[in-house]
Amino acid sequence: MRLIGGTLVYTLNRDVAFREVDGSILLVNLKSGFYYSLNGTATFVYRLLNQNKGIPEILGELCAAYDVPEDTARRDLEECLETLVREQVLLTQGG
Amino acid sequence: MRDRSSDTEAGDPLSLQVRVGPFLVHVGTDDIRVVRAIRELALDDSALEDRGGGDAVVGASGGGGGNAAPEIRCVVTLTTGGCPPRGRLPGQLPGRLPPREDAVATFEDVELHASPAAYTLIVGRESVVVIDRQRKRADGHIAPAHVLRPWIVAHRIFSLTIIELLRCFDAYYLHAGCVSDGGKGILICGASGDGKSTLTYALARAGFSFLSDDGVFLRRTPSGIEAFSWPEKIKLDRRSCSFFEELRPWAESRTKTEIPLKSTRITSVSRRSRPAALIVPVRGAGPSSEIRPIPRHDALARFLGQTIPLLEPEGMDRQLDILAELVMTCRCLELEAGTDFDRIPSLVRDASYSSGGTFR
Repeated sequence: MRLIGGTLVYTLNRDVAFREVDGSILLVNLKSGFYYSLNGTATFVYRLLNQNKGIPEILGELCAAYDVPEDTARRDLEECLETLVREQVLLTQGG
Repeated sequence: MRDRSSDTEAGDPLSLQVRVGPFLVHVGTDDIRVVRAIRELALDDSALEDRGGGDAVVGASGGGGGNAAPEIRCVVTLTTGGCPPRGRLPGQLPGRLPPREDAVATFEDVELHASPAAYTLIVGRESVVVIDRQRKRADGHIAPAHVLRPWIVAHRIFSLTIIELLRCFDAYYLHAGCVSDGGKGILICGASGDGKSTLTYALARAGFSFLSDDGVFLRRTPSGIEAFSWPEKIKLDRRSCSFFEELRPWAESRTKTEIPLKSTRITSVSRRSRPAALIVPVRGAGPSSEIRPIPRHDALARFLGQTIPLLEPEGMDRQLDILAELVMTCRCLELEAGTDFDRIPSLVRDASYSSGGTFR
């Protein structure tokens, strides 16, 4: 599944609650009871998604914050988004 | 002390009152077997008080900090088909059970159904308890097959009813042991088998006040989060019993044993405390124990895994709030437990209460 560059629209699943504790985000799917502790990159991405930032903007911020080439950031972001979609933290439309 | 329930015939209205921290839960039933099953849960059988009207108050009567008188009364009625207590039930129960797939949460053979007006707890598709969220009372019917099994009456029907009922008061259950010292609580959280009960007992026999080895309620108060419990009997497996000489008689038991208070070295029982530290026990490889701080988000994830699974989304969200506040206001520690149980209490006390901020 190619997530970046297509026409997918991401929305945060409103059944998933999050709390930020000491700079790390913990997600809880309130319907399934599953919970996830996000690592540094995922926390960074989720925070921006929660601010309604688009994927190109997030990609740019990732490159700047972690000082990595765009290809590397793109690969990491795709992997992160795939995981969040697979775990139904993110919902997609279109594509 | 006089126990009214012991000389009352089945079919007569019976009642007992159970103290759960600041709550006084009035339990009415038509069946002596329900009373007996609930009483069997209690840590301290000798602490039954005659309340004038003949009601037995079940719950340990320990001293120490945080044992203020109950402030909030609530009512549970559990009938078995005999004479409904005080004319109540079974008319309020639903005529037909909702399908299991409509449950907002399930746990083994237990279902929780939720509507704005009520929680409905169904056990084994037979016993039903309806918890009125506005009136904050529970009315239930225990199926004949379940009445014959005290464990189901006590642990499934009664305990889960209390857990759901107290949620109406914004009090949330956490699968954790708890001890306190001077009202400052230590929550010990872990999955079954991680050593939660063993550590709780090791601390309680060393002078900490005992609240529970298995579960506590958390609620916000104007002065912070409060942990409280209904002290049940301590449940330890044979390996844990073998660590403590006074419990050796139970070290041959094949299953977890419920130990009566009088057989333990616990000298103080409390019902309420203000959590100051959260400890996650893990089994150590060697005989010597070590205690270390863990990140708050790590503690939150580990504690979240021990909340009762019967929560609807709204309740889970509120519980998450309380747990997040808890980890932000407490020291978060991991104890790699060895077998040096005489040393562990001082390790825990130093790490939980000492000033200096090393562990914050």
